[in-house]
Amino acid sequence: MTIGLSAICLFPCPAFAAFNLKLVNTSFDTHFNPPGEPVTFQVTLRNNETTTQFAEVDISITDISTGQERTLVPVLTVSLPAGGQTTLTGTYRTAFQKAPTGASGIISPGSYTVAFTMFDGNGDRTDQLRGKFPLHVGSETEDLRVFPEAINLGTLPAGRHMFPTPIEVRWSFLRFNRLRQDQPFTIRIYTDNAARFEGIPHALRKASPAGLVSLDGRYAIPLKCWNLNYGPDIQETGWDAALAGPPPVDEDDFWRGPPLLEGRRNYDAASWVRIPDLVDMTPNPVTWRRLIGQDQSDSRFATDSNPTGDFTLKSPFTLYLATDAGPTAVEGSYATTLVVELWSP
Amino acid sequence: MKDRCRVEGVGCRGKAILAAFVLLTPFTLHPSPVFSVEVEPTRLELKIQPDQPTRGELKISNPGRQPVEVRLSAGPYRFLDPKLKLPSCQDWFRFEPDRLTLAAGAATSVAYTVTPPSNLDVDTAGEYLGAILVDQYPAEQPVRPEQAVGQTSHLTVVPRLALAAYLMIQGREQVEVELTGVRVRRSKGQSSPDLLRIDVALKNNGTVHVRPSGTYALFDAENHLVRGSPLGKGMPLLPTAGMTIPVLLPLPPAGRYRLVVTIEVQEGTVLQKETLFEVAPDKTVLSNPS
Repeated sequence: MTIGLSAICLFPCPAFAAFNLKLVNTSFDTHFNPPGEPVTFQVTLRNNETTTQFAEVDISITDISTGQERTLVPVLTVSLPAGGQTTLTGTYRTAFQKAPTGASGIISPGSYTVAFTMFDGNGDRTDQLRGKFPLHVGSETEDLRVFPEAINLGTLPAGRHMFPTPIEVRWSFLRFNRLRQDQPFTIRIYTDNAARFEGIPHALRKASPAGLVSLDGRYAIPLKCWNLNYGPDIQETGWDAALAGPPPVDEDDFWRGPPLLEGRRNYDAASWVRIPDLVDMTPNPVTWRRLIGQDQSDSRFATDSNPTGDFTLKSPFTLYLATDAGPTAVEGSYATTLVVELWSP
Repeated sequence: MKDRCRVEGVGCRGKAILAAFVLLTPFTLHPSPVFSVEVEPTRLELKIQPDQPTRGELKISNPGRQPVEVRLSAGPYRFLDPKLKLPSCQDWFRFEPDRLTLAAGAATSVAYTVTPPSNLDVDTAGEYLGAILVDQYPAEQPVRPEQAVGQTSHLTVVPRLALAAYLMIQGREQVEVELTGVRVRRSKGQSSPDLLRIDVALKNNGTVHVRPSGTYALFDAENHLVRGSPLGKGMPLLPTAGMTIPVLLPLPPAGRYRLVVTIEVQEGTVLQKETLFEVAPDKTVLSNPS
């Protein structure tokens, strides 16, 4: 022990103490309704030492929106025999009231990351595990608002044109299944013009009604949209969309997609993306234009570093629209109904 | 060199656009959205009689500060594996009223009637799928498309809540789910070098959807619990469909392990499967070691 203490005095303290106390597993449900619902955390720990050890596990939650971190009290403690393994359970309660800034056992509405930190009898940190999923406390809600609801586009200019007025989408979605896991949802965007669009008489192939449709129902001008989820990749392009907003429409790299070898383009990686019409879409989500969403079962979004398949944006997020009136576009008045749809199975 | 110029060019343009944004701010900032509706319930899962209409109510409220016009209609089920041939109940719904105006802060009920067709007997399906679409329009639209003058163009943005509808036919509902396999393998993740991937495969051989849930428990050779967690998905497992529930966890140290997967198909119906595997010193994962 003397040698151990000398080592502590002579050398800089390590991040973790030498005691072989390990957190084996942690688990907790992730969604709760206030007030009063108990939030239970389970922690399994093991003592790999040859003597009985005291262990304390602190459960800390960090509010995702404010960054405020709190340790839930009471903390979990146990005296664990050599080679022993045990599971500790801590139960805390949810409340509508604002939680105090210091240590407390109350979890107020919000989203939190969770960390489990273990200390030995000397107060040295021995191990830490982080919760895989955030903890959500709040009332179940499903809300979608859009502003403005009607836009006068004026006279459509020739060529590519971005409308400077953003569409603001406010949303809230907190629903969970009986496992208290996130219910998947998506907000998708499409036009609904099939009833109005007739196309050019005697045309060999009927065009898609997606976009803006002329009042006589004959012609359509494609609509594209952009939001922060669509990039572009700042490392590849140098365009910081979070700071500078939508990328310029007159650059093919953003409008059509970044260049590939032999003059081809990666159309799937374009920042300005086409808005389909309802009739262009199938039940297969690949054909949808998704603004935001969350789907654990969609391998496109769920990865080991993003296990909830989260491709949401903080509410409100903005959406920009652009038209491409090409050389075949016909002058006149155009209109469309743009649907922003919230769907959850 | 080209790349350098390009980045510099974008940077300049970025500053220019940033400046433009600052200048445009007074014009682009606008008040919060002023209308929206809330609907209860957010999903319909009903058992219906095949030979008579089923009635119910949707509660619709407008917590916004402006009146809103609400239009209700039925649509196809939004998410479906294209390979699944599941029948639709889109044409069975009728709403009364199907169009209404809600004042700010007001709430009301909309009655719906589900009427299965008289020839439902020709089909043996146990479940029909659809969606209830609740569209929100501003009660007073500034300009309607038909009022457009000259060559001006207009766009109306419609927020739409799509409520999933699962209609199960009384007497035909049959719950039968098979736990077809539990596969354990090593997986290389993007952020973690070594992961253990467990794939739990389920197949719905019944006639109605289920929302399976369950747990997995991983024991070492001394029968100590190494790790355990709930598993399951919010997505429904539709009739005739299969589902794989993936679990990713850090690769445990070399040794032999026993994995027990328990799936609760519905209350009281539980499936369980156990599998043995070994993590070799070179981190390969061997299933069912001798």
